[in-house]
Amino acid sequence: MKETQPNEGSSRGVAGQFLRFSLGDECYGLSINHVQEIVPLNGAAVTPVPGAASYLCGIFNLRGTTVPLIELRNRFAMPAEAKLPKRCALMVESQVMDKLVIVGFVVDQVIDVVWLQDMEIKSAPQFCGKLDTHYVDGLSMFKNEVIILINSEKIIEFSRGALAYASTVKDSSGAILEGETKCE
Amino acid sequence: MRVIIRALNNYRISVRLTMISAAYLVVMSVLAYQTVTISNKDIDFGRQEKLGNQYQRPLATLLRQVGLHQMAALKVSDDALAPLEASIDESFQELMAVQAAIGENLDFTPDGLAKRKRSDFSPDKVRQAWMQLKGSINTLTPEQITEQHRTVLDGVRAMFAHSGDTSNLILDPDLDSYYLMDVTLLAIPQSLDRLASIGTDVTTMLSNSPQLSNPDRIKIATYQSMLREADVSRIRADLDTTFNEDAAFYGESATLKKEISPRLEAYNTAHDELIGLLGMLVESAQPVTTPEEFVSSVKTAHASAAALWDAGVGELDVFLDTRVGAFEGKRRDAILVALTLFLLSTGLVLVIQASINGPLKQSVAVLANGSEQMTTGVTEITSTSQSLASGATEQAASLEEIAASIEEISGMSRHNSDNAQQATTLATQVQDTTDSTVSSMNIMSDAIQDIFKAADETAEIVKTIDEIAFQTNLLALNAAVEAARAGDAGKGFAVVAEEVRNLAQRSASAAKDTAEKIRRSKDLADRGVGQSKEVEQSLGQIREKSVKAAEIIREIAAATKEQALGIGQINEAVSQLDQVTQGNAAAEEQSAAASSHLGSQADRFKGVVQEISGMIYGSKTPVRHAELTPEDWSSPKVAPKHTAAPAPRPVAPTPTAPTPTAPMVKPARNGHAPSNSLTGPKSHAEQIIPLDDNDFQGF
Repeated sequence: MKETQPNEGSSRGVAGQFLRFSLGDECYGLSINHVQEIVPLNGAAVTPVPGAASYLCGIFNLRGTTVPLIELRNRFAMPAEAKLPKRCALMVESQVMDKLVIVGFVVDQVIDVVWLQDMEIKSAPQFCGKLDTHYVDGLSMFKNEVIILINSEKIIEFSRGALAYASTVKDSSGAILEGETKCE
Repeated sequence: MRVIIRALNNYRISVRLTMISAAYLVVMSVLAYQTVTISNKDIDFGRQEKLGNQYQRPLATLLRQVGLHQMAALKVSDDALAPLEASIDESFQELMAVQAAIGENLDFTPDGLAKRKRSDFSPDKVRQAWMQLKGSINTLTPEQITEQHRTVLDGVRAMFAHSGDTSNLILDPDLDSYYLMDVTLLAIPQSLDRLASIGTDVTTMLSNSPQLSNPDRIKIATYQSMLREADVSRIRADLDTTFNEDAAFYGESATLKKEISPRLEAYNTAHDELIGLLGMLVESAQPVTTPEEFVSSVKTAHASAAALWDAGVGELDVFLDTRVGAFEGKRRDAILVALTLFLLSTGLVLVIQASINGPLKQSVAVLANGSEQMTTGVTEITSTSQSLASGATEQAASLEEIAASIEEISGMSRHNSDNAQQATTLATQVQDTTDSTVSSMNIMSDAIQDIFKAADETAEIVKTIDEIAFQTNLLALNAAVEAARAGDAGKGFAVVAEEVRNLAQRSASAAKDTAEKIRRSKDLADRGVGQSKEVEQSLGQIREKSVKAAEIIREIAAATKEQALGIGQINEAVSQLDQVTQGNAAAEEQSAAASSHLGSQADRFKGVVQEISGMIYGSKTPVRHAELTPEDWSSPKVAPKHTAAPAPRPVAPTPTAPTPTAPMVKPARNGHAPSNSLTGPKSHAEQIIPLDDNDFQGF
């Protein structure tokens, strides 16, 4: 049983609860402060956006809100994987130009929530060869496992173009495009 | 006789034939020898006569010279003594030389002379007498002179007579030479003596009284008649006969008349004159002649007589030479004839021998070869029949073995049959079992399929549970997130969320475990299915194979039946063979008996052949075999006739069977010893080979 610490939304290397998720073989972590909710994607209606960047795999209707989904695998230059039954989208909220935006990060599997101490968090930019180091806040060890802590803001920032495009698409039609998703 | 025959059996026939001819040759040699001996006798006789003549030559000279010496010593003649003495000495030396040379041949030895009562008249003694006379010639009276001269003259005359006796001259066999010998040996010596006496006495008479007294005249008449009858006419008659008979004995002598006639004429003339003179002296009262004239007449007659003697002896030698030559020729001819006949007969004998030996040897060689081959053939037959007999025995033994083996085989065949039956049953059972197994297998397969189905269904459920757990987990996470965002207010909520997450985790893990287990059981079921499929396959193979086996066994059973039939047939055949074998054995016995009999006959034949060979070749020489042509061998009729012939004689060793033989025949070392057995050869042969024809009919 872990207790939540009263933390003022610090986004850098400060102890706190992190949500662990996996992409492929690697374990990533995201501060729970940023995560609004976790939504399973199996069978969920994901509307693909034609003409969008490859990492934008579609938009999703979250109780009336249109959320663009960023395929993290793609974003992190990993090959696409077909069979992912436990695939979820992390609803990540972020401040973009003073607006609170919710973006979905598509991950392979959500593991759990963990409490990471400060001293556990190390910044090791040389570690990840595949990963753009912009996105990485640091590394942490949890039970002898390496968790790559990512910076969601950076991800959203670098994906602004596609996100904008996606919202315009939404905006122009004024409704959520329905369709079969191909992001499974 | 038997001993001789046995001894002769040592030698071969050719040698014996040679012995026959040798016997005849011996006879011939003896005859030739005798002829030669006779000729030799005659030759020696003649030669001896010649020796006599040779001896007499100095004697005649002495006779003449001593006579002359007497006349000279008595001063009847006017010859000087010394030359006469010298010549008389010379003559004596010649006499001694002749004596040394041939004195012994003419028995002028002390024994020879003593035998004939002439011991006083050896040349030595006579010479001694002469030496004495010569030495004392000056001291002697006329009577002594006469007497000593007489002694010497008598000695010479005695030697004449001795030489005439011992030299066979006195026995001269031919008329011509005999009468000539009479002249030289008897008549002329006597005449010379008489003439010397006449010369001495009558001249003395004439010297003493020219008017001769009546006693003187009577003496002279006696001298004359004696000279005429006993000497001259005798000599003339003798020489006449000699001349007449010359031609009849060894042909006419070429020199006889030539030498004798002139001297005879001179002799006749001289003696006729002397005889006439003597007659006149007897008759006439007047002195007819002077002593000197008378002496010279006497001396003339004396000389003529001596000359005639010389010629006569010479011609006598010629006669003797001719005769000896004739006899020598006769002897030589006899020898030549004998040699020629000897060679001819030897040649003839050899030719006859060869003519006998050649065909004999050939025939014997053929026989020998034939007997060899017969023996060989018999041996072969014997060995063949023996091997046949042993073969038959082996055959019988083999047949028994075969029968035993067949019994075994029969038993095994029955056993096989039973086994085949059992095997068939088993195969059928296997099939049944296999079938039931297969159906079981099928059931099992179905069961496994059910397992699959169940597992699948379960997997579905588990999947659902997993799904639920996942969702629950998400929910819990979301709750955790909310709780975190809620801060302190959401602590309680966070706890709850955590618990829910735990539950979700547990569900998830349980679901996972279950899924794992299901997977595993499915794996196992898979394996089971796989195994059952394998088993089914194996069973299928088993079935197949058992079907095949059943078929094969059926075949075996059928074959076994055939086998049994076959064995039955073999049995029959074997018993037939057995019968045949017995029959063979019986036949073999007979054959062996016949061949052994044949063998003994062959041996006898061989023995005979060896004997004949021994006779022809001698015991140690090998029998020469000749090649037999097929015609030589007529079809052999083996008719064993037991004839009553004597047991085969022990034979001489041949090269094929060199066994030491019986006492009868000793190995001939060199069968050419010429024995003088002169028994008839024909009877010999029959005694040596007492076999009759019966023995040879069997071959």
